[in-house]
Parts: sequence; C-alpha cells; structure tokens
Amino acid sequence: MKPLARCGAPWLLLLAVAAAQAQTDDDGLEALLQREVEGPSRYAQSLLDAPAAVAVFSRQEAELLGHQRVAEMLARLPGVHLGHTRQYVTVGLRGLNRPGDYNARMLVAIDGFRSNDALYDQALPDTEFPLAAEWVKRLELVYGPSSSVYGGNALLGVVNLVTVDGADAPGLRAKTSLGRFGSRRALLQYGQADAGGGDLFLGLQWRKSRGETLELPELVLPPGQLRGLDGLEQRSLFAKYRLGAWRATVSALQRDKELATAPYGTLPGVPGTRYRDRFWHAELAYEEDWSQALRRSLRLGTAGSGFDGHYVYEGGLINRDVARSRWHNLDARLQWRGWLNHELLLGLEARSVPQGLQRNFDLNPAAEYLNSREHSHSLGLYLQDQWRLSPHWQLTSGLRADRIRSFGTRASPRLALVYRPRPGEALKLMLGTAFRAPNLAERFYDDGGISQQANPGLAPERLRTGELAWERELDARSAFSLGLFDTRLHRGIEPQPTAIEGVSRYENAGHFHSRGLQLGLQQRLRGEPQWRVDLALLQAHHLGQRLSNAPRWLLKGHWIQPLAPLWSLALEAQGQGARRAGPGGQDVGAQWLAHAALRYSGWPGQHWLLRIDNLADARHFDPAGPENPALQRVPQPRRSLRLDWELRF
Amino acid sequence: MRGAALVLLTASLLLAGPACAQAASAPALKAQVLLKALRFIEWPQAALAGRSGLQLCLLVEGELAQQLSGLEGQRINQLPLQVRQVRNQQLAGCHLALVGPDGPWQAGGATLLVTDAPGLLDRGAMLSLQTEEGRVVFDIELDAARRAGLEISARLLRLARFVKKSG
Repeated sequence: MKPLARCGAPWLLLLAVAAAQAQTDDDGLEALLQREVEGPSRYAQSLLDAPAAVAVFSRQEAELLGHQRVAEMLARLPGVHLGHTRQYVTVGLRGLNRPGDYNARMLVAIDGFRSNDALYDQALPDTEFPLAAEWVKRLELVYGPSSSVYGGNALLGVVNLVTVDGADAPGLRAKTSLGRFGSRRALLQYGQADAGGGDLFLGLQWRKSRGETLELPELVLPPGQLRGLDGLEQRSLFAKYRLGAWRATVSALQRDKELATAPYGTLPGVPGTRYRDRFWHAELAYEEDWSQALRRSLRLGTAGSGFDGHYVYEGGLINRDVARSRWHNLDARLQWRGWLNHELLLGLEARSVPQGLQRNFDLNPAAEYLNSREHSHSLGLYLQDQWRLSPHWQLTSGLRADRIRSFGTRASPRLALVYRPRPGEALKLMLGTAFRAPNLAERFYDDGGISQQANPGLAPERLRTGELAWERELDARSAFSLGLFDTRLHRGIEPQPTAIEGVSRYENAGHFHSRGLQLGLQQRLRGEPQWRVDLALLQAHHLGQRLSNAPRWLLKGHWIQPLAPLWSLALEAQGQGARRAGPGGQDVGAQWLAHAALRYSGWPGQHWLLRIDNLADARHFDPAGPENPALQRVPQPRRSLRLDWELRF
Repeated sequence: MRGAALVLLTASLLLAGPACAQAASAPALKAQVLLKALRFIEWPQAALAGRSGLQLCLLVEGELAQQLSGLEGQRINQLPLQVRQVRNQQLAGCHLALVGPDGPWQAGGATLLVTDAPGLLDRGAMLSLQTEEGRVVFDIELDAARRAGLEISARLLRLARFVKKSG
C-alpha cells in the first residue's frame, strides 16, 4: 500500500473506505490495518481471505516491548522456537529445527525479496540479519508451504518483512543503548515523505558486545578462561526510496562473532576462533497500480553473501573457511481481473547464482582441502487464481513449475478453500506441497575429514501439508485463531554419520512427520492493555521416533500495559517443552523465559526504555548440535539489563 | 469524468485503508461508494425519458438512508439525484431504491435495488454494500439487474467483491 494513496490526498480521505469500526479511535483503525498481508500471495490482500494461516507482528508492539532484532519479533509468534548455538540463532517452526541447519527450511523475504543466501539457502533473523526491528513495519509469518508462489525452500513457512517507509517514521531519530556484558548499540534513522510523492527511509545500526563469560564444564578450563570470547560486533544499513511506482532498496550487513564453544574441535579457551558474516542486497522494483483489469510489476535484484571462518587448532594451526555467493533475481508479475470473480496472478522468476565459492584451507603449514566453485540457475513460472464462488466462499488454486539446474523441473501446487461466514471470520482448508533443492554447502562442502564430506548426488526434499484454520475477530480489538496442521517431509536432507568419527555427510535420509494444533488469542488496541497468548501443541517424529530438538508444547504471550499517560510496562513470557538431544548432545527439560520493558516518553522528543532479558536469570540450555562437538548442551543467554535512549528531531 | 470517477472508486475500494477514514462513518462511505458506482450504471432510455432527475427511493430507515438523503442534488451523468421516502414497497418511478429485509419489493421497472443488509442478493437485491476488514465491498446480482433493463459497466463489475451471474 503506497503512503500517498493511503493518506495523501483529501479526496481519498473523504472516500477512504472504512469498516463499522471506523468510528472508533485512530488506534483501533491502526490495529485493523494489521489485517492486511502481502506474504501469502505476494500481493496485498485481506488476512482472512489469504490462502494460508498468517501471524502478524507489528512495529508498534515491538517498540513497546523494546525489541531490537527481528528474531525477537519472530519469537513472539505461535509455533516458533528459536535456539542459540552461540554462533548463530537457529529457527525452528512447528517442531522442526534440525541439528546443523540453522534455518534451512524457511524462506525469509524483505518486502517480498528473497533474502535466503545462495550457498546455505537460509537467512537468520538475529544479529545475522541486516534489518533492525525498528525498520520493520510488519512481520508476517505465513505458515505452511508457499512454494506455489515462492519456489524452492518455502517449506515450513515464509517470513515476509514489510519495511517502514519514510512516512511511517518521519524525521531524524537517534537511539543509543547500553547494557550488561559490555553491550552498546547506536541506531540512526531518517525518514522523509515529500510532496512530490517521493519517500525516503535510511537506517544505520552499530552494535558491539563483549559477551558473556560462558561456563562450559565440558571444556575443562579454569574459571574465567572464556572471558571475552563471546564478543559480537554488527554493522548494518538499510535504505529505501520510493517514487510513484518505482522503489529502490539497499541493505548491507557485517557481523563479527567470537566463538567460545570450541566449535569443530578447535582449541578451547583461546581467542581467535571467529566468524565473519556479510550480506548485501539491492533491488529495483516497479509496481504499478491497477489500470483497467491489469496490474504489472517487475523486480530486479542482486545480492551477495560472505562467510569467513577462522579456526584456531592445537599447535597454532589456523584453519580458514571461506564462502562467497552472488545471485541475481528477476521477478515479473501480472495480476489480472478480466474474468468476473477471479483474480489471477501470473509470475515469472529467474534466479542466477554465477558463483558459489567454498574454500577450506590451513595456514602455517599451508594446505588446501576445498576449493569449490559452483554455479546454479533456476527459472520458475507460476499461476495463481483466487476465485470467489460466492460472497462467502473462495477457492485459491496455484501451481508453480521450477526448472533448476541439475534437478530438472519441480511442480508445486496449492489449493485453499476459504469460507467467510460473516465479516471478521474465516475458515480455511489448505493443501500444498513444497520442495527444497539441496544447497551448495550440503552438496559440495568438504573440509578434508574434519566435519563434512561432500555429496553432489543429493536430491531435492519434498514437503506436503494439510491444514485447517479458523480465524475470528471477536470484536474490533480482539481476535482468536485456531489451526490444525499435518506436515510430512520426504527425502529430507539430513547430516548422517560416516565411517569417520565426527564427520557427517548429507543424505536424503529424513522422513519427518509433524502435526499439531495452534491456538491464539490477542487484543491489539493501543492505549489499552495489548496482549497476546499463543499455545502450540506439537508432535514431530522421524520414522516413528520422536524427533530431536522438538518441543511438544510452546506457550507464549505478552502483555503491554499503559501505566500513566507517559509510561508503559511490557512483559513477555514463553515456555517450551522438554527436548530430546541428537547424537552427542544432552536432553534438556522444559524451560520458561520472561522479559520486561519499561518505557517512558515524558520529555519532548525523547523515549527511554529499560529492558530486562531473562528476568529470572534462568539457566537454560539447548542440546548441542554438530557444530559444537565438545559440548553436550549450549547455555542460553543469561539475564541482561539494557537502557535505551531515543531522540527524535 | 467517468475515467476519473473510476480512478476514485478504484482507489476507494482497493487502496484506501481505514487509516485516514476516521472522519467518515461506514454508512457515509457506503453512500460515497454508491454515488461513484452509479456513474457506471445505465438505465434504459424509456426509464429516463421526461424525467428531471434520477429517483432514489428509500424503503428503509437507518444510517445509510440518512446518508443517502444527503446526496440529494448530486449529479449522476448529468442527472440530479432526487431522494424520497417510499412506503408500501411501491417502487414505481424509482431508478434506484434502498431496500431492507422486508420484501417483496414491487419493482417491475428499471429499478436498481440497493441494500446493505446481508443475504438479500438471493431475494432480488442487485447491489449489496458490505464492510469487510475495514473496507467497503459490494456484490452485484447481474442477472437481476439485466432483467430490469440495467446495464452495468464491466469496469464496475471488476471492482465488485462478487458478481452473481448464471451461465
């Protein structure tokens, strides 16, 4: 939705079409706006009409809760279970969070731009991601397979981040944060919407932290030896300019992480083992408004990612892992309303990865184990029809064919029947399939017998889901949702042990079955308590065995309470059931975690926020995965206190 | 003019979210949408012959009826809108009529039956104005409109949420 169309012109103001709730205050209307989503069909549509179950988290909620990272927003949504390897954040959804892959079965998009990288086919939402929470207007989590419009790797879900426009956050804002573990953060952003229709948003972010002094008894080190080895530094930027139908977007990130957990058999307790991650993307988009029955859009994008691993081994040996990828995207779409009661979407998407480089080598003495330069190309053609059968029934059917180099053609269908018994209520039945081609790292990475052997012969994995959803707005301010799903992943790409101890190889060995129930209740009116409670009951199995790292239940919620006119208090809490560990790890019990934020906006142009993460200083763990073979379990972040000061000019 | 009206109507229906709409109530916006939509409906010449305006008859009371009363004098394709209350379901001489659940309506002529009560398309209403997630949407019963001799532009039909049509 373009800001000019939404608010700019007086005749639109006069004509703007409102609900019965239009007579309530602005904030009620603001809450209602969240009922439009772009993630499921790649165009804006009503959340209740969308051919998928979608959970939405808004910037307003994130601001009051004191969120700084996209991961914090994502963690609030039903069915999501994040983990932390102390190298990266891992994303689990509906019971699937496989060891060794951090987020390989979910697609992450920035305003619809696929931001999964070309080597690992993943995008991680924490400090690995270029967008700060402050720059995300709305996070949409589309549950279930969406390969019928997105192509590969939209298996468990799609996270679409709708970014803020200059009009949403006008003027200059500077924000600084100081917190425990030597953490500092500075954020600068500028937004401007000019009368000529141009809209600019610019954001810069810098973050540095000394990190915790981890206690890892498995490493058998003197106390305090790990001090200063968990540091982090992150720099990122985001810029967007819109003019009429044109939009240009740029994002970039560099993240440096010191590693204390002795990954991949490195020497424990010494500095120097570290990761550097880079990401950048640029996109030029043309998205015109409806003219007659047609609407056209064209998007051209280019992006790159980089990874530098620096590992310190016994005897001063340094091993380096280097990965670089570049990719280009073209996405052309036509929306057509020429047939009564139909809305057709036809799209063509081409993606080219001219080079995916993976190197592994030793310094002093020099030895090279891997120098893989692969390329990959894919072409997808998709068609979706949203057919209104009556004022109450609609049927969305979609099909996408993807031709991928080395893997031939894959078809991904989708069918969704939506029943709207009354305004504000929808019952949905959804069936869909999705696929994921093995990524270049799974196929070609081989570090000479330290951790992984290559397997160029891997085949794509395939996922099939059936889902029922019931969504109902109870009144202007609260909504209820219930979902049931059944997901089967066939030929899942999983690391398997080889004859050499500690070395694995990816095989099409996984046959996962996940099913469950999600229940959610929320109230979203600003100026009154805003709250949200979500419960997910999950069963995830692999060949009849309970899946590792898969909680049986997730319960989460938050409460935002306006206190005095200028104060607000926010509490968030989440619990997850016990998880079984994979090989070498240690099972972990049920866990509860709570955070709090106190916000004061009393002085003109200023906002103060005190945030406490892990309020009870609970000692929680994740089962250790293959990246941390020296550990049985990985300690999760302890209590930290942070003070934010924001100045608006 | 018609092109501009279509742009306005399209913008109202497709783009304008409720963010800025707090100034206007849902019935007021329904009335505005109807006013724009009427530019895309053609009445038979016989129905317009010798008439000084377009007759809008109100069979029901309520907020939408009040808003429509306020449209008196607005011009639809050169003809001023003339609003009047009607009793006994008698619609002779009405070009369009706001009807409620109480029928049957004795239209007979070229009368566009408009309603904002749900579920009346099956009972002869031709244009049904509803709200859905912060937007005004409308459904059209095309066969009934055609039987009454009304021509509805394809451009308007494309903006409808649902067009009921047999065959």
